[in-house]
Amino acid sequence: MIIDVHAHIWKNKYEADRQDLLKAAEVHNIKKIFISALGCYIPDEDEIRELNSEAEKTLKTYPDIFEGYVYVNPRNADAMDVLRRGIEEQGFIGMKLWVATYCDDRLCYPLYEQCIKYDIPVLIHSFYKAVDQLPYESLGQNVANVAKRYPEAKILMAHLGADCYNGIKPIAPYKNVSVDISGSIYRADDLNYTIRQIGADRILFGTDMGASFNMSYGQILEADCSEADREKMLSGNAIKLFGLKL
Amino acid sequence: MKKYDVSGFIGSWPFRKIFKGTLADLKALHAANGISGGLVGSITGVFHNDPYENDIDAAEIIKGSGYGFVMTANPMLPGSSDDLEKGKKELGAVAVRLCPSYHKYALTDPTVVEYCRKAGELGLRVIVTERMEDYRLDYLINQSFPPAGDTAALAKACPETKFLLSSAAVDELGSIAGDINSLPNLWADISNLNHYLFSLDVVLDGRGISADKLIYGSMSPLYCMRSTLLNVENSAASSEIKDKIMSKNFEDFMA
Repeated sequence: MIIDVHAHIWKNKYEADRQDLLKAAEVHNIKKIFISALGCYIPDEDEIRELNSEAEKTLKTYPDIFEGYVYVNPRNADAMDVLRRGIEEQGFIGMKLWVATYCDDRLCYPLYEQCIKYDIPVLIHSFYKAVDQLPYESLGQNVANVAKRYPEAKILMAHLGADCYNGIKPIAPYKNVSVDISGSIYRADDLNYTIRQIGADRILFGTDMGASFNMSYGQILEADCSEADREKMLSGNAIKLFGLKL
Repeated sequence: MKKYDVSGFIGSWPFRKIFKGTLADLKALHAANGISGGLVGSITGVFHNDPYENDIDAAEIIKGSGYGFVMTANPMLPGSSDDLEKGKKELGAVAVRLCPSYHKYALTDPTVVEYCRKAGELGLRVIVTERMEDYRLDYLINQSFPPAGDTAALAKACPETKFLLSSAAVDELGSIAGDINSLPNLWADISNLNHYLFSLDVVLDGRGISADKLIYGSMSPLYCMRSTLLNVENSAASSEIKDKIMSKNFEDFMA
């Protein structure tokens, strides 16, 4: 079974992206795809409202395929309302933080505290890159700071931190942090390195679709691990983290 | 039908530990994926001041394996042009790989053009590697990427030399689709189709690149071989096209 915990529909391309994801689900036999809707890097309240509305539409139209994260910009005054509405009314089962601010910015603290009360995971974009780092783009150390402050929080660090050598070691000591392998980077050995650092139980499958499904899936298939661990990474760990009933 | 990998490697890499860098590792990975031939070079010598010294060792390792040996070269280094003939005669090289993203020269430099012309006269194919790693993961050295059009220009300047553009992204291939399709001496490997959901279909249908000019390359052990193979396996392209990419086009490149 394949559960993809990290995919997107994008502003101004919602329907096209939905159809691409549906096609991918059919072609690649994906059981569930978790989405968030994204647009500009620091969205205002109106854009957040639109993005989450489109994500909600995706979940409600195709409930057999999609689950979703409520996307929150912690800088917006209505951030807590967005979270509350997303979880209590719109049907999302996690919160997504992207690049509006660092994930360990104290603006995020009330959001984590609420997510702990909801008992929902927080998907945190974490992406170290050698060039073109975005101004508020979180790294593994930022995620580790959150994990240390909130040991009860369920944290899902995206993309292995992009460069796994930067992202994984900071979060390794914090058992409340899992990682997803989504993204367009298909360097060999990143997943094997991550398994060695934190174990297969803390690794979830994601693709960052509309980026390539094959890139992430191939890494799982080629990983040096048992078939049981492979199955955990492909679906078992997501079922456990999100409490899915499948 | 025999399947090939035009861009395989052995060796070590200065920026991170390569866990499967031996010839045995590569052969095992190929065997697990139904590949039984192709071209292999060494990544160890990419950063050597005289990569030919490492190629001597690499060629000895690869000799008798059934793979074609690919030299690694920086055409701007003194004596590199002389190494072409030595590499063919003494090492059995069938191709030479250039790495301009790290070696920082322009493919349009007259020295490079003359180097490639000489390679062609010797029957050596030239593989131009657009990138060895994703630039976002660069450590200590930042790559700079030559425009894909510069490889096409090289192919035009050296019509007797066969060129393979390796590790170019979908949009880079798309920018020279006309040249790839029309130039009889230019091919591209599909080792770096990573930014689109159905990337090979985008290359073939969206960018209009002829299936006759695409060759499977893995860039293993730097890239994940299974990931690059899935781009072919999961493509909507016909089995005839997939066979061309995995087999016939390599044979044409090597003919």
